[in-house]
Amino acid sequence: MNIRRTLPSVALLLAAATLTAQDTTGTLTGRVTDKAGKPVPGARVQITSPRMLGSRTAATDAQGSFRIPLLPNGTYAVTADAPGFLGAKGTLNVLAGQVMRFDLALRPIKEVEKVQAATVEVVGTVAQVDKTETVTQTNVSLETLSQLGNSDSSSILQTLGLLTPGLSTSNLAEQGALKIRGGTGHGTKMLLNGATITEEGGGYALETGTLADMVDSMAVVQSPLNARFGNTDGGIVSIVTTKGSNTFSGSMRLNFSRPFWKANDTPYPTRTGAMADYNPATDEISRRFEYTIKGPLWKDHITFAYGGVLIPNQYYSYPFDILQNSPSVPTDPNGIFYRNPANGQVVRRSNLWAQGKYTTDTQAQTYNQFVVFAQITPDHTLEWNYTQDDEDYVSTYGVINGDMSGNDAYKMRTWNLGYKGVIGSHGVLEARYSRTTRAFPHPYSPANPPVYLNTYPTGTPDGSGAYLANSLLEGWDNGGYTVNTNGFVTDRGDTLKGESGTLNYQHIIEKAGSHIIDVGLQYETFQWDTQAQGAKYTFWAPGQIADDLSAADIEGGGVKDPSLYAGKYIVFNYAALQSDLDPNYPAEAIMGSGYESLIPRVRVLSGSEQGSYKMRTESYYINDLWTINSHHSVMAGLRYDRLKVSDTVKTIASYGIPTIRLEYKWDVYGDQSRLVNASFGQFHSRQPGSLFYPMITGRLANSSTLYWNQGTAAPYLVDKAALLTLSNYGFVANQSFAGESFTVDPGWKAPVSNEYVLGLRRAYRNGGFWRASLVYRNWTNLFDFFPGEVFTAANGSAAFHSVLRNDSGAERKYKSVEIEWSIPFTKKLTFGGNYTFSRLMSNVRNMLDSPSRSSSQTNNSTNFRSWYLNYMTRDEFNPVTLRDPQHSIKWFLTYDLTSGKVKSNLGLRGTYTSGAPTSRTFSYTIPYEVIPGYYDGPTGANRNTGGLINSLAKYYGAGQFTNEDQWAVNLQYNIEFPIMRTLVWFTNVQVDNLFNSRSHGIYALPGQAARDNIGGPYTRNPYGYQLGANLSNIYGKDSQGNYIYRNGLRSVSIQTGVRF
Amino acid sequence: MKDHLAVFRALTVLAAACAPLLAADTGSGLDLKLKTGLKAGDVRTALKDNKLFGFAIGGSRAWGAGRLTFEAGFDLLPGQNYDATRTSGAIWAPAGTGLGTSDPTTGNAYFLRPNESLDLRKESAQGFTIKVGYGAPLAWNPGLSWHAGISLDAYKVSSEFTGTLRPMYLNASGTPTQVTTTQGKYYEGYAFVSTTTGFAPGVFAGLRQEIGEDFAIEVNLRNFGLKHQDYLPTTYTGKPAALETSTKRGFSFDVALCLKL
Repeated sequence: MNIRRTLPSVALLLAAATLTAQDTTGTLTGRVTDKAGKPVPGARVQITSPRMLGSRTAATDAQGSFRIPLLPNGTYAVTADAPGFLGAKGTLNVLAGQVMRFDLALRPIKEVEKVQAATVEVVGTVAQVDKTETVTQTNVSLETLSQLGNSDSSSILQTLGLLTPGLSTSNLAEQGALKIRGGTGHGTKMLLNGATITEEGGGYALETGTLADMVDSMAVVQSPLNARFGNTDGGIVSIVTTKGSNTFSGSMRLNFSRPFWKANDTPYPTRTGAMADYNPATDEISRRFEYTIKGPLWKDHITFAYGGVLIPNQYYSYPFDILQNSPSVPTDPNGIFYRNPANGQVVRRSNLWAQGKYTTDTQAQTYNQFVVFAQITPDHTLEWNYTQDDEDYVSTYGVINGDMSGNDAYKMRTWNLGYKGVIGSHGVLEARYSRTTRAFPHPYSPANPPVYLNTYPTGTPDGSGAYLANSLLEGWDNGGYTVNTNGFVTDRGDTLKGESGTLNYQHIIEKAGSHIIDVGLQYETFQWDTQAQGAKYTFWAPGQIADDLSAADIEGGGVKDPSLYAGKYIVFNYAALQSDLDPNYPAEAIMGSGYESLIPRVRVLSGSEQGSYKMRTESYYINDLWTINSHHSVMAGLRYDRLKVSDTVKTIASYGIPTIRLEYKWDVYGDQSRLVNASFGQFHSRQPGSLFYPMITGRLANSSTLYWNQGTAAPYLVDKAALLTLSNYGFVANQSFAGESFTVDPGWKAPVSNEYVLGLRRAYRNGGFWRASLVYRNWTNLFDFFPGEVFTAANGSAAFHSVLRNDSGAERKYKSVEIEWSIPFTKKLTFGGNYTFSRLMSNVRNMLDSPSRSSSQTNNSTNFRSWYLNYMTRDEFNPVTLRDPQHSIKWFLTYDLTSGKVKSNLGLRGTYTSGAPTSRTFSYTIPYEVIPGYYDGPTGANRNTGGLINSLAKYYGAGQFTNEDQWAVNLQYNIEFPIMRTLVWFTNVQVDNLFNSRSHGIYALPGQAARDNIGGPYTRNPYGYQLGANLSNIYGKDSQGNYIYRNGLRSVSIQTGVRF
Repeated sequence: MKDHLAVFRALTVLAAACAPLLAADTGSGLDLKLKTGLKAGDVRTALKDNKLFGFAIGGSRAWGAGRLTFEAGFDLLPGQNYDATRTSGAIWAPAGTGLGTSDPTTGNAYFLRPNESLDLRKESAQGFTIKVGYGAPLAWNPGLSWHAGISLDAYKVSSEFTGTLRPMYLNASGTPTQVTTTQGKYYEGYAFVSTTTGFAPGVFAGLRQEIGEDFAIEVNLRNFGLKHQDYLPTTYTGKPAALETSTKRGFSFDVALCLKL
């Protein structure tokens, strides 16, 4: 269908619509001039694309400008013609959420009368962006993604991170979450086709929407200035999927990856100290099958796209290892206590772990995504998306005992319906509704309850950092799963529902320049439905499966008889152990440092939790982009968010808060080539619902932890049946929740980040660009739990109400320099990258000295307050200010090797990150011996004391310590051959960590003279956990005899398939 | 914090200073330079790392047959963590009445107990650099020019020291024995970060190749310096623990991508 619009008003309308990351479409803008640069009003600009149904046409205004919004991602052919001129044409790519500028110069026909049969000439030029963008974002096309990494989900997100400045995923609280410009992980908004799909915890990389051949583009919005954006204190990650077209297309893609593939086939130390050849176990090749098909359902009116992922059972095997050993430091979180049968003395026994053995996790997943797109008329469209994700996990051996864990499952469904259309002559209306459901059905029965055996390794065997904590032991109690009296199992609310709606109307006013006004409303709801009622028992199991032990590990010697150990678990009686302990080893140190995982225990929860609770945010906004002239524009936005948290009985928290956004842009030459911007924005953050869990009416208020109360303090073996017998537990080591009360201060508000930016963007005619920004953010409304009034608890003791309220003494600040560039040196060679120098500062008060401190409050302080801390280290004794400076450099180089019909390209990706901040001031390293000679620097308080310390606080080192710098170079090679007609065979190879940094490990091997035993003011082994995570990466030894290891495994991923 | 604020303010001033140039009709003549390179010499030895990164604003003005060049930038000189635990040489410790290098009773020399002693360090630098110089095109390739000049660096050097040193000796029975004092077992421990900033001059020379209208590539060789810090614990010297500062010089070779403003 060829739509021709000639009304100037419509052209102006089309010139109006601004694009934002929430949009799933892009905009084409430009100017038609004659050869002398004078505008050509009334010229007809027509665009066509295989990605679009029919064509779109606009007429230029008096300045020769045109603008065509609501364009799906894709390559567009643009033509322009006007009476008396030779036509002009060109092509360009349009990305979702981005404004592309395309200028065309027409030659008068009289100048080309001698040109026979010529009707058009290629004269269009592309500039990267338009100044009417109202956000700062890094937009990435699928083409770019595929040139730099295989497009399985993790690689897509990895590549996105590579291309984006101001983004962090590690070294801060909420590890693994995407954090933007110092924002929190849960404050990062995740969008799929414009609909919110943010996880409850928020900010974590989602499988959703990252199906390779379904992704059209992705964007990271570092500065969501337009008032349309909210519920984020960091930024937005937006994924836009394809919608299909009038042409049938499809693909099949097989992905094989292997993280250990010839990574570094060096020997590694076993728990006996001997070196063993690295010997990959069983099936380590991860397989992933993807398939898509797209096409018309009703030509020119309705299209569809479907994509599916099948991940068959796959096994992640890795040597399970704990390297740290410390028989003499009571606070070392490794090893277990053990009573020497020879003298009865309780000692700590290290190496009682399945070091060097293999743990296997099994995971299967299916993922399906459907898109139906309908073009009612060229100016009115409907879009429907549906995705489903089913995952099943089984973990066996070492970490989790398979026959007891059964299957763990996760099911997610999300769908959304969107409308976009031109209303009248000056308006564009968008409406979208979305709904997401997540369920955690656990197919357990009372006869086979799940008991997760948590060994609390300090380094996770697969190198993924918080693997155990985040994946397997996820939940509000962060340890173990819960069995209620009916045998239903849940670790938290059984289903999570998310719902969001948005209605935006954009209107153009031509007065004193032009105004593009967005006005709209949004709402987002997260709801938790809890099916489990009544008493629940959480089994926190012992840490050791006995199958793997050598005889020397049990009772000090003897000949191992496998029949005695198979299926058994090591347990010991905490009460007896405690009475045996050396008084110098405080029980708190034991219980606070991971040893409790070696003592079976059950947490009994009682109460009558209400069925559900809900967090709802309603937002209203108005935003005006005032383009004063070709050089100057001003944007101003006002947003009002209203948050309400409630359960089925009461309102827990409710408030409203306004935020403002301001931006000035100066187009230096009026040609988009040099754009200076200065902005101020306030971003109200979103809080996970778990923050309010303690306030739920009838919450599981009383929690008693019962410890194993059988046998002796010496480790001995029991079978599973004994482990699951409640009567074997009885020693009440502590109680939490009982007598506690949590409330929200009526004046409480969620944090708001205030952003100030000064930036410059330079765009080149060849499509290259760079931008540099100075960014400063600070946060207001930081919060914590504070002691409230005293009351008498149920157990008769005095207790404090804990009040969630804003903390005026808390600070969080972020400063950064961001530079981003992409330069196509030639048509084949492109060099891009970004540099971020950031400094995140936050402080924490001495909450652990709070008179109302309780175990759960400490937990709250860790889990909630620390969202706004730089990293998870806290000082128990002094308020501290934590600083987190970091240099991050990421670059990529792509080279097109296409020859004839064979297309191929080579990509290199590099990263450098300065050493992550660490601390020698871990609160666990409380010295237990007098240590003279301590020196805290030339300006330290202890500088003149002759080296003698006189208080514990002196052990907390002064200054910012850092881990080792890390860098890596990765390689990508893609090739594709035409087979017949449109059928193409392709193969992509990705090699990660082709080259990468090496670190010097300092750790102990049993029986060897190594630095395994150092007391003092710092963590004994700052690298040990890394070694544990990268055992197979040991590269050699340095001059000190310490192992050198590579920071990350060399991994290979191969994709092959066909597309048409 | 003050240093970081200084960086921030300086860049703000730099950006403001560039604004009038951006507005000039004749073009700015300014580049944004993205640099990466290697460092060598004593600087590399001190930092235990050979990498260098940086960015700068640079420009030039016609002067005689050539051009005066100037550049203001920020450099990052990474350092590597390393283990400086002394494995040979004298170890000093207080054995009851005073420092010595051996146990007064047995005469056996002190040594550091390997599995309980550790001296971890890291030194890195970052800061501003200013360059002025002169350059001229090469006759056989007008797009290729040489340049040379002097630089002034203000690098902030950050030195991390973390250690516990636990001297021991072999007793009369040949058993490793912990050195003790009246206060208990003797350790020497430290955990601090010391920063210092100093100005150091340097010289540089390089080549520049224009790539079209908007880009250029530069290669530079530079001699420069920074302040190195060394911590000498009592255990290594027998004297009160001290922080020593010295100037280290070295070379850097960098490649810069120049993007026209």
